[in-house]
Amino acid sequence: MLESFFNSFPLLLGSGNFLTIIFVIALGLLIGLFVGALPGLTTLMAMAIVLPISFFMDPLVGIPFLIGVYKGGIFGGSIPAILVSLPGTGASVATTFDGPPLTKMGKGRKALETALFSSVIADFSSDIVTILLIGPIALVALLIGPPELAAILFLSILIISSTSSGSVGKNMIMLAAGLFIAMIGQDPIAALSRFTFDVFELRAGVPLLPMLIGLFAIPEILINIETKAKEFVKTKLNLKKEEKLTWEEFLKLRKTILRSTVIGTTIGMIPGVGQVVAAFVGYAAAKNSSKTPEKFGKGELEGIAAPEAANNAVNGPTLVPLLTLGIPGDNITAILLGAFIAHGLRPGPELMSEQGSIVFAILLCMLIANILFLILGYFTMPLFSKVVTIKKSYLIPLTIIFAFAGSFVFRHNPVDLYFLLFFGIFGYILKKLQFDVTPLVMAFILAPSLEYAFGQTLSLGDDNVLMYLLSERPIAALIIVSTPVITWKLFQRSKKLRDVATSLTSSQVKSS
Amino acid sequence: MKSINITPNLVTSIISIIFGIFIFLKIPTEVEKPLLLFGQSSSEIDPKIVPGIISFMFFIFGLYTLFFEREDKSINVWPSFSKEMLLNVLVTIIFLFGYSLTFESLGFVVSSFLLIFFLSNYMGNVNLKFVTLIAIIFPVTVFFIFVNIMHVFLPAFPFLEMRIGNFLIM
Repeated sequence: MLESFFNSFPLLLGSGNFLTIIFVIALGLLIGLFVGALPGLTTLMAMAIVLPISFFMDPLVGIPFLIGVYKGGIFGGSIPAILVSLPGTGASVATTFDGPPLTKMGKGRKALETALFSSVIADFSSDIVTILLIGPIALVALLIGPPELAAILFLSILIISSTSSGSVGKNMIMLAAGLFIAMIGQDPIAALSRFTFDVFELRAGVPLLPMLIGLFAIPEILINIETKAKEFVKTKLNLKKEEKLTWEEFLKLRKTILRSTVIGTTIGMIPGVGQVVAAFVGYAAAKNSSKTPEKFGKGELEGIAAPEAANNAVNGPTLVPLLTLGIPGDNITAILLGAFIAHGLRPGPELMSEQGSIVFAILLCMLIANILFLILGYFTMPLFSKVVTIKKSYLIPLTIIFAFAGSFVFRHNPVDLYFLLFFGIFGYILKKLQFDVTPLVMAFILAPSLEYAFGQTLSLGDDNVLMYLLSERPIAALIIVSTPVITWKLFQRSKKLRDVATSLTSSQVKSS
Repeated sequence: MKSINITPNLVTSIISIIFGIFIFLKIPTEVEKPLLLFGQSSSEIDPKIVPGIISFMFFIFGLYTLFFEREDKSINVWPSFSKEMLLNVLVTIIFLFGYSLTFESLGFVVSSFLLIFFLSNYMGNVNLKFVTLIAIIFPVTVFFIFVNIMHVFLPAFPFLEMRIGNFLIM
């Protein structure tokens, strides 16, 4: 692993791509900032739409491009949250508690700088933790065989389904739906056709890309179109005239940033929990340890630093299960998984042993992205604060064009546009009925690997799988036995964390 | 007699149970049988196992939702739609369907122009000259970048390919 790590430097610096990488990360950050700054449009949607573009780049260029969009989008969401009390993304809802009061006091610039510095510091620190952790975990992952992999994948989709938002029953039905959609086409073991209903287009299975764009981008577009609002927000802000964050103010925030970084990094490693919960837990922890908790919600800089550091610290650690085991922890990492697969890099134990230097080079790109994020974020802040005023009637049709072009270019098949439309309408209905699509997407993505590993296990076990597991694969047996306990514990913990978020939101609504 | 409250979770659970049964009934006809080689199956495991598990999951989770979450108060309400909201969404879906239909036959630039122009106008509050300009410039730019820089195929204008020098622009 150490060799792979050291080999990643020449790969990154000597490839002749270095300037291109810097350029695409910067471009990705700007796209992310732009979309994130638009209330109603999320980072997830931006990533789904630009995903196909990354397919036509070198992996060491395309994936950092998506990472740029990801990082830019999470911070971009805090811009309207602070300035106009409209969270650009779910991760910045907790930022709306203290951001708008600070803006009313004429401290909008100060609040945005607090958000930027906290985000960058937390993100950078958690990325270093990710780089340090990924090697040892990958070494352990290399020891696992098909039975252990099947057990881990099964455990993962159960955890993701039980820790996703909404009702357990609905999440489990979504899980079954994801497995069913993945089943359409051919089985991964003997390539036998199944559930194609004699429709030719279904023989190759349901394509991942139109499904991802359909489920993540089209529902948001339709929700934005429900009301023909003339523009996102009307605001007259001039950040250039406002005072900046002082060094003394920044030093006072260091404990809060550190605490939230630890919270975000830890939450990032739990599949299915994500940035939104991390931000609320970070905020609650900062409020509880403050000497002046009564100032929270009325314009406290710590109230900005805490959620922003926590939600950005989630970014790196979510990649640990993805890269070592091939398990995406949330929807954004599911999109990144799609990018890895399209580039011929199948995340999992073999990826780290066979192409570890590329993985480490991508992780190093995350550190570069943080530095660029600091520079670009600082100088473009006044510009992106104007984005909230862009008219929806211009923006929505342009977003649709990108979604359709992106779905088409991968296979050049017009049928993919109908898949896109179908999943878009399906996703919209699910969203209106408060279904979380995360279990569906995760199950769809993980199902082929799970089924393959499951089939191999049955084959290895011959006539008596149970005895085989107990006698020759005790770790796999142990994972299977402990699956209900682990799932239940994580379900309770995630419920508790969500309750913190709900109670904070409702108390904030009451006080305002 | 107590009337049944038709909640989204109730409907979801019934659909899930029915779908589970449907998959189970369709397994014999929708799952291809493995070839027999020298009297032995070419597939090491029975191809009906996974579809069977999935049908059971739909059935059992449907039952769980029916019995335990049917009346759940927190996340179990029908979405409220005004007539205007419904109309806006339906019109947009029709626009999107039309866009899918014309994407290849009219080419990317022309179909995109039509979508941007009509959808922007439908959404209202647009400057007609400005939106026409955007509807031309944006698709041409996207087409130019995708085709000439990224070397990705997008359907060109079917009747007449337009070029500036070596660059295909429509």
